[in-house]
Amino acid sequence: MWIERNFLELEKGEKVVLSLRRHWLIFTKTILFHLILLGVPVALYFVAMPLTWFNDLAIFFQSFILLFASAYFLTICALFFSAWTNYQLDTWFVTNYRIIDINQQGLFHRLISWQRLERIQDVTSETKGFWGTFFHFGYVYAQTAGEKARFIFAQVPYPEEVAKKINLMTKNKNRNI
Amino acid sequence: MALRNKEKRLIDLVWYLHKIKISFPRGRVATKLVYQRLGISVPSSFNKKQRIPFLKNKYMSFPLYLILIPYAVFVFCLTMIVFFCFYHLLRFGFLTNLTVLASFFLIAIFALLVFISYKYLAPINWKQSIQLMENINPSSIIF
Repeated sequence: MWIERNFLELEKGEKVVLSLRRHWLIFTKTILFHLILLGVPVALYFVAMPLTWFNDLAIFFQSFILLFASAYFLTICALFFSAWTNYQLDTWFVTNYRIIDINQQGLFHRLISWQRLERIQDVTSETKGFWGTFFHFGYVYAQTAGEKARFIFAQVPYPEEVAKKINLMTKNKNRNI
Repeated sequence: MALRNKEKRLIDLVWYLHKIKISFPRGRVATKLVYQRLGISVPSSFNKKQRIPFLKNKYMSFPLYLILIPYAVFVFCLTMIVFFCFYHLLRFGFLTNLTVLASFFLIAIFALLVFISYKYLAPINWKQSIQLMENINPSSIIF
């Protein structure tokens, strides 16, 4: 299984109940931001195209502008790919035994933390803002008694249902104990 | 009359050096060096006022391909970032068909950008020299 192959071994009888990542709309914002960054020089080009000064520039400046434009577009592309990787690698899992938070904080910085369901004291969900309400995404906070006091499932889809499910599983777990 | 010919040869030499992009120090010493290069003695009337205007200017020349070096280093770093992102996605990503497709699509866009850059940059003659702070006008070479 993917989670076992990459991050941590599941216990005997442990099954992944929920696998979550940020809502797609959050990444849409990133896409729009990068599209705007891409669009600025394109717009500048179309504004400057009727002007003849570019053709009159010395070869050094023409080459420099071409190199700069190339580096700019490649940088935007690389940053977008990095954002896409971060989006893909930021994941939360709820198994029938525990919750697992895999947080990709940079290219070479990953934080993995987990907590057993019986140590979870309180689970709350929060949906705020127009977009959150309209597209049903928000935060789920799981208060624990462990070293990491609070697990935050950030901008996940249907936070109320996720909170309900974790609450239900925690109660069942505690009842069995 | 003989001095006039020498001066003419001097101007020709300076202009030739300028054409083959040889930059050299400016000022009186440089003017003397030009005279020595010509194999003629420095005229006794030589003084600061006789410096060649071209030699007085700041003059910096370098081959155009030098600006390709930082560009190449930068593009190499970006390529490494993309490579590591791709590796992380394949190694640690929660892969779905959409994830794999989108990742390959992004790689293809990056490769396409590199190709387009190459297409635009290849026709430029990178071996030619570029003069910065150039203030040369052949008609200004007067004595």
